[in-house]
Amino acid sequence: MAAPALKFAQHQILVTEKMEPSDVIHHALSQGAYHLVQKDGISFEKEKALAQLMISNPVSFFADPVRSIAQELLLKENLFTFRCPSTTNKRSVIQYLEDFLHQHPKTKSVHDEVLLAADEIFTNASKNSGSFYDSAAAQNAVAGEIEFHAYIDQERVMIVCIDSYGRLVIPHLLDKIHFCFERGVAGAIQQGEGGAGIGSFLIFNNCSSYYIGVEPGKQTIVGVGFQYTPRSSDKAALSKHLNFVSIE
Amino acid sequence: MEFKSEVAKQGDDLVLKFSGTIDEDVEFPAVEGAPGSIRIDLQGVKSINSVGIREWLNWIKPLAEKSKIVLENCPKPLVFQLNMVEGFLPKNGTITSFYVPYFCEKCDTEKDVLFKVGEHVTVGGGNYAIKFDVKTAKLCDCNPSEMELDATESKYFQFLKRIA
Repeated sequence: MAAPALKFAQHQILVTEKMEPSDVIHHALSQGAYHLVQKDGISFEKEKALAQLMISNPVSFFADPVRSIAQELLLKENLFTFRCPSTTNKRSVIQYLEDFLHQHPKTKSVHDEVLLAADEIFTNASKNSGSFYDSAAAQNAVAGEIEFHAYIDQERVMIVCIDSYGRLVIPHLLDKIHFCFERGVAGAIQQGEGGAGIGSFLIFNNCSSYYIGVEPGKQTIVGVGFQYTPRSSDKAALSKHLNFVSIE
Repeated sequence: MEFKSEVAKQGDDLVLKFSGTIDEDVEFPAVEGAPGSIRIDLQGVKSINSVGIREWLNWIKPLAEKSKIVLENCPKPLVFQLNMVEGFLPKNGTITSFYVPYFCEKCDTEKDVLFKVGEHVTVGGGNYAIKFDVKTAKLCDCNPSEMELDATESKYFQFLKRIA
């Protein structure tokens, strides 16, 4: 069966507003809208600038993804960086991140969500275990390097995990998240989807922005942004941004 | 934080106490026979990840086929799963108490309040009613208290409709 024609090239920016999270994934999956930014989402101008950078100068994005995502000069006191072999116990990384978050009280409202996302993306990076990774390549995985970053600005906290494998397949990831929207988490588990696709759904559910960059065979960058306010908001219903890029 | 479990028998019933993180390293206790009910105290559970959710479902489903499942002291991360994941609380299961997050924007205090079903919240007829009065509960030092629910009420309490 022929693949459906893409209405959006992956080098275009789809600017929208109030789009439901499930529709965001649907657009990305069915129409190739890899840069989807929402006017009513958090830090709209920064997200749009990031999309423009990823499209016009992806090399620059891959060279400095944390600064690219933050869209500002990084203040040392607001930056957490941890580099380790992929075999490092994730609990120690999560603990360091938690200590960092405690130094920044404004992150309290998203503390649990940030730690959960960190757990999921570090696990995926260290094990290349997601069903959306290139499984053949993952079987031959050797220990690599992981960089883990967190950055805090006025409106949000961002975490970025970079592995040295570059095996994530973006359409597969979108497909798994879409499946969870369609069937629910329990339904996805019953279908033998394992933990990793569900993890990405949980991340997307809680976040305000989702970033992915893949340089096949070299690096995979997974980033997530969380907005602090409004405090008691339904995070799953937030207008979410997507910025995905894959280069050869 | 490593997962730990304690197991105790009370007559025909089994009482389990869990703490730590429910993730890929979790080892839930094996349950032999068919206890009348299995009470699971979840107070010490700090977090659960996606693999932990799968492990929980795989562990609890067969238990629910032979015993009544009762969840106690359910913390916030697990309440999210109760609402999102079908079967996280099995069909014949029930919950006696769970934590509800509150915060005060004025003094930046956070409090997780233990809601007892039947006392702080009542359920019945497919719905629920909150009896807890945050204004008189003195959860922070502000006068008057400006404590508010730190969640979307209709979403956070949604699971109660299934046990009502």
